[in-house]
Amino acid sequence: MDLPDELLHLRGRRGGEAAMAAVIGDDDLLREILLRLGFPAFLVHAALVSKRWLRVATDTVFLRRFRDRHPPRILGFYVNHCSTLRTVFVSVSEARELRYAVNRAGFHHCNQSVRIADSRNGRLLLKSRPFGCGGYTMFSPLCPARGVLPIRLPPELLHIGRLSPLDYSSQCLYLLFRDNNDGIVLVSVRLSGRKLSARVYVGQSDAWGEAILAEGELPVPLKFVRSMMIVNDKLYIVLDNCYICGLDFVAPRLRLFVVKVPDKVGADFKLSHGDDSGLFLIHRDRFHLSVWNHQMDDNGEDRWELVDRFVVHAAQDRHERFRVCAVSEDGGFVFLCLWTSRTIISVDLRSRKETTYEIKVQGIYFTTIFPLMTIWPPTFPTLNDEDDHDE
Amino acid sequence: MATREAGKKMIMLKSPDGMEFEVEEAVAMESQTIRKMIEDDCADTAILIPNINSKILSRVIEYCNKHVPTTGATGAAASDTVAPAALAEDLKIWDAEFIKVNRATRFDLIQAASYLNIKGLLDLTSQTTIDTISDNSLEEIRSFLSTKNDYLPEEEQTIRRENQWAFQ
Repeated sequence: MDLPDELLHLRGRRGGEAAMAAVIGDDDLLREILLRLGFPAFLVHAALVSKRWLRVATDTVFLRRFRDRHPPRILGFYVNHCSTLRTVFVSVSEARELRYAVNRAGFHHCNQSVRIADSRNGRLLLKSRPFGCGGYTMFSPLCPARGVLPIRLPPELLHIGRLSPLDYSSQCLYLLFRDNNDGIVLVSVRLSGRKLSARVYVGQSDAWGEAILAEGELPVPLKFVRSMMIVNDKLYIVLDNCYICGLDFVAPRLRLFVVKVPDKVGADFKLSHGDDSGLFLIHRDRFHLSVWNHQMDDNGEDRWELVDRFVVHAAQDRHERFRVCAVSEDGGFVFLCLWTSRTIISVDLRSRKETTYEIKVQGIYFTTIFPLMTIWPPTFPTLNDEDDHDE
Repeated sequence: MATREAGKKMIMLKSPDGMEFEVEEAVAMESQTIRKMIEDDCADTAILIPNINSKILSRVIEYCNKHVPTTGATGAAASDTVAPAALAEDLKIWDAEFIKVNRATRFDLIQAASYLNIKGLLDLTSQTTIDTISDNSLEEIRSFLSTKNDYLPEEEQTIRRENQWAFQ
């Protein structure tokens, strides 16, 4: 028996064992203790102690409390290099407890001809490069044993699937993760003068629900889609000329709305989640980052409020302009790219701490960045013999 | 706080082994369970605390005494006059000393903190327990807790495979 001294010491104490059994044997108290585990990985380890511990760890209320205490953490980010056709992973977290996950993130697919289309909750949606064969796939670099899942497009969209989203065109196809569950959303948009028509499919990798068709009138004729983003099961289509078209795709009555970005913002911005249900917009103005919050009342009246503005020292010190490349899915980190030195910088929005990375970017306009976060919740199996538990 | 520097209201706590502890009401009200009894007027001047022996109860009172927001000579809360950071640091050092107890006492304190609903004490005792076991291997933890592994090898394998990110 190779127990540490303090454990041996404990086992010899009968009184200690009785008190311990009373605490560990009580589900409520065990839950209180397990809540104090520092990282989700430790919770997975704890679930392996016994099936009773697994049951405590899979309780929905417990999982919600655990997440509140230990929100998802950033592991690093992927850079889609446009010129070299390579995707590389750069680690951000230095936490010892996250190193297994960080080590897995530099997956072997990085060297192949795939481009990342979206990233959420530790999973990636991949798209073959224009010259590669095959279409979209889903991959979890943190759980490689799950394999690469092919995503079948509905037959009526196959012809658009061959277009590259980098060709800003009047018709485009986007594949995105939902933010409120594990599903994915496929969006095809066609712009024609002031008319926008969208076809939205909600589903999983191998099955789509019925297509949701939405049509709307734009205030001015617009030409192309810049990007798309899902915030709280609402789809935001960022269009040229500073317009955003929003679509609530889970509402019983389909609703399309158009939002104009704040006057001074211009085209270089990224949308982001807040801690709650709000929509945020993050943009550069000279050497500053500005954060705007979008509010909409029940009558459809909307307004923007500037909630934060601060200087990015790395940019100001070097007197370099920068571009906002990505915001992490929790709204906690912004990734910027400096124009002249082509350096990537991350800014922690809570502490405003800036970190500069060694990696150099080629073709800033066409380089995309996808942050990778830890997975939540863990995947726990449902065990059949639920009443066969130890006390 | 209900207390004033003059004429602090006192309350009697009784343990099942017959010991009586006279404490300030504000100190006793660090326990949400006791606070509720007092606020609901269910409490007489003496409250019997079941299942918590005098040795543990005296430690709990010691904890509450330290953590109750104190009132200074001017009547202002101490946290207004002393820098909050320094106060928090002092409490942290005090807590670390307080929790240097044997494991039987620590597990008794967990039960007491849970029953009396004292969040800070539950945090401290649970966190210390997790810290002492989390560096050990699964087998060591099972052995330490006298828990039988009731997983089939393939069930254990499934959890490891589905959560690869949590393992080397």
